[in-house]
Amino acid sequence: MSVNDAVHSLEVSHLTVCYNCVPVLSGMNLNLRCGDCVGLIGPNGAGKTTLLKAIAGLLPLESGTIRLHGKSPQAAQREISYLPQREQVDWDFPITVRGMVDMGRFALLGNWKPFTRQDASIVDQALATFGLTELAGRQIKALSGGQQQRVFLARSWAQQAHVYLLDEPFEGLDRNAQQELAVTLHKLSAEGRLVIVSHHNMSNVAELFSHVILLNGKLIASGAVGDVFTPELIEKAFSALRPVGTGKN
Amino acid sequence: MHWLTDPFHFEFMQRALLGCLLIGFTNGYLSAFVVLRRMALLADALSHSLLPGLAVGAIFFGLAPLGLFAGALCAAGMVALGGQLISRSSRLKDDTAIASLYTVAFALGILLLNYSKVRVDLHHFLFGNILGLTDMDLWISYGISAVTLLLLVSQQRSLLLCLFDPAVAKSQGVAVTRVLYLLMTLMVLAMISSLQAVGVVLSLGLLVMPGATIYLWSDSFDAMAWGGGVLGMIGSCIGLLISYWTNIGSGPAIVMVLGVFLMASYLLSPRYGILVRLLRR
Repeated sequence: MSVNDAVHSLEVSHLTVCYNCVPVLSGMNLNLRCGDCVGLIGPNGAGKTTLLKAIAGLLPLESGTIRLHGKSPQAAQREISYLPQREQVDWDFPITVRGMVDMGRFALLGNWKPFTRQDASIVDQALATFGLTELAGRQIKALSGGQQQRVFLARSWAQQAHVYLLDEPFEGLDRNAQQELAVTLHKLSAEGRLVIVSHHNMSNVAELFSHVILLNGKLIASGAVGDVFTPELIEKAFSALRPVGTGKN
Repeated sequence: MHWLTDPFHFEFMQRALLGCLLIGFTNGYLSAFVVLRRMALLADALSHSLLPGLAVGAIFFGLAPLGLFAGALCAAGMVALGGQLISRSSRLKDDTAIASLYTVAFALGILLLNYSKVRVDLHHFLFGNILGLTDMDLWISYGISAVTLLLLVSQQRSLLLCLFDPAVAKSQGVAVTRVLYLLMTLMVLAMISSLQAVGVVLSLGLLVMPGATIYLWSDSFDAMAWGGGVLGMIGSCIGLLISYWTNIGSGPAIVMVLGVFLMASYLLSPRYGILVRLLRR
């Protein structure tokens, strides 16, 4: 699968998102280039998950716009893949690794188009790319945390997604699994895909991400990790006062 | 083998067997979706809400199957939609709203049956009697089975995405709310088709236990759906035979057979049975 080398971008302009009329994110402006591996950093309740869901088109916007290659999230649905936190998934669901990666093709095929050899071949490639071929027949609960994250990524890859939105993927992974996942994410961004990851472990931000967004209900800073992940700006993000009544992430 | 073949010399038993195959398979296939979407309690509420619809149908149309069918469908629809309306327009959650509505509907059904000019046996509506299946009942079951299975199979990809993770399904462009309403509608239709066999109270058993049983044996969704269908058919047919030979009600017999399958799987399944887990320790 090849990704166009031309510069793509995700533009967020004057974005405000509310829960029950209370703003959780307000007045956000962002411009991200595809090919970046972006860390979304902020305290609990800063709006990290909200931003990811807004980009995925899962939340109504109070105001502002989100554009991927000039298209709204709804129009670019096939290109965006949202990966929820692992604890939100029913791991007892009766499905194998291969069955879950097959699901990545469903959005493209709809209910009626047949699952062709080409689709099966893309699923094979996805399994091989993420080192899951040997595990293809295994039930998803019988995987380690790192393997489960790789299955999510393989499903998104089979969907031929261009933007990967990952909600706390490193949570609960051991050191080796974290390193494996980091290598995988870097590989995806090196292929020209945009990878946005909400993350809360401050000790490995610099090694994981090329770009950082600091967030606390509003944008504190966004830019190359060396420019933005500084003690002053981190202090600003984690000490900024949140508007009263904002409890959601 | 006389015990197996003799009962089916009677025409009413041939009709009952056909009913068991249709109802058992349709409900069993659907049970995979009900179990994975955790809709069993909603199904329980909706099954009880069928009673006032049956009562209104009996008052206006007598015991004509189509009148009863229309009444039951309207009643379940009103409780389901009413529950959604109340939960969205107030601080009451949907489980509270639906539980309140269905108990009121059930009580109303019992009251209304007193005013029916047709002599209605409440016991018959509550627990069913598959030996009394008419040709029209069978035609309704044919129709419901055909529509339900066709829609479940043709919409399976969207349904699977919604069952596994509605948020991801929505992000992939699936109309999640519409798909889940479709599932709820099919659930109500399947329950109505099984009313004659197992009644209002026991219809939930056919709609939950086949899928739940296979879930304890297999990690494949297809096995759960198709296996649930086959198990629903087998359980219904065994229940029918037990009902014939022991002269107990068909509804309780069918549900008891399915209950035995479920309990045996809970204990003995090589993968998820508790005895195997205890022995491995």
